[in-house]
Amino acid sequence: MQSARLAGFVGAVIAGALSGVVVTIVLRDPQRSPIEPQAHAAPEAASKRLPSSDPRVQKLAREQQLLAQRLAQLEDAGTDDRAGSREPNAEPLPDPVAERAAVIERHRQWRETHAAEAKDPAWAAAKNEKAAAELGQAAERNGFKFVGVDCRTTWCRAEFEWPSYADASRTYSAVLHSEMSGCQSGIYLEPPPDPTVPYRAPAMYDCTSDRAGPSE
Amino acid sequence: MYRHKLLGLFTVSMGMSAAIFAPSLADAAWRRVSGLSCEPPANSTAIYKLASGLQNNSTGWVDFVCPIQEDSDFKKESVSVLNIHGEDRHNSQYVITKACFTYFDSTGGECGDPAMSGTGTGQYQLSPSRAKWQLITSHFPYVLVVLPQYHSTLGASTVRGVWWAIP
Repeated sequence: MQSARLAGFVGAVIAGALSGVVVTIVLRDPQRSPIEPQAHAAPEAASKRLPSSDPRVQKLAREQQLLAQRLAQLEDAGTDDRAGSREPNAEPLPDPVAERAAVIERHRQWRETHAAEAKDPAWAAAKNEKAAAELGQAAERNGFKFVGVDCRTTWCRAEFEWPSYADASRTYSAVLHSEMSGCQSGIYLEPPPDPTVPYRAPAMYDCTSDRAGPSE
Repeated sequence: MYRHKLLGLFTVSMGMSAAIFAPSLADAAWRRVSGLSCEPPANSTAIYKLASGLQNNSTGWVDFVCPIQEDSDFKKESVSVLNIHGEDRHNSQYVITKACFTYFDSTGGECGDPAMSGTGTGQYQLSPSRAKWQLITSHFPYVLVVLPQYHSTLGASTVRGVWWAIP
């Protein structure tokens, strides 16, 4: 009786361990394997071919044919509906109109936050000076005008002027990528009514983390 | 009672073996691009594409933008590791990196807090803030790498590549 109980315990441990391995392997995402996928080795069974007259082979051949037909049908259906077709579980694409509205609102909120901020005189003066030097150089290198910068407590707003909207679209990244000593940056170029006239736009810099970090 | 013990042993063994065989953190899915995929501004000169990466041999800082491929299984907002690798060969200037995005349907974009190398020289691995990527899903991500100018005795700085992963 005692040995039967012991065998039961050992059996439970082994069965549990094996189940764990099986479950883990089944659930494992092959894309996440750190090991490069191995080339498929030719199984030994492949060399032991069954005769084509074998009923099992014939059954497999029929199934393969059916699957090929089904695949062709599905591919045809996909080509017919190429413009609107999506994977059944695909996520909906973002709505351009809503996204644009969100960007405009985001920048409006930033400008409001900056405008409502009090000025920390010491920080603002030092930041204005440094920002003017950095942004002025970036503008000069890229053929547009740095109009001015206004740093408050955590936010800075800088104004730029380009010869045209097309020029702004080409070189705005100089403003976005400017070092601005540890600030996040953002710029939105609203399409103007006349794209040929000089174009002015603000860039916003959120320097919250710069202020929280070690002093420059 | 005996059955309960058996069930308990089974469950514990299953849990332990699953824990041992389960993918570890090191198995996190990752992607990377060579620095050779990064692009300097259109009017740049003295940018060398070498086996060791993209090099700034010019007399000024140069902004490189590196592509970040994204799809429904590998979204920028899920990125938990972002490392930019290269070599800083300037002893008073530094390398600046930022995680940025371009607006999906408007002209403009945003960049997050930077990560910078020190003013010394040597290999760098920089991990800029990914906060911007986590905020908004629809915009197109990229990485900004600003390399210092060529140093007359120490040579040119390089970006070797960008490596990012999701858990």
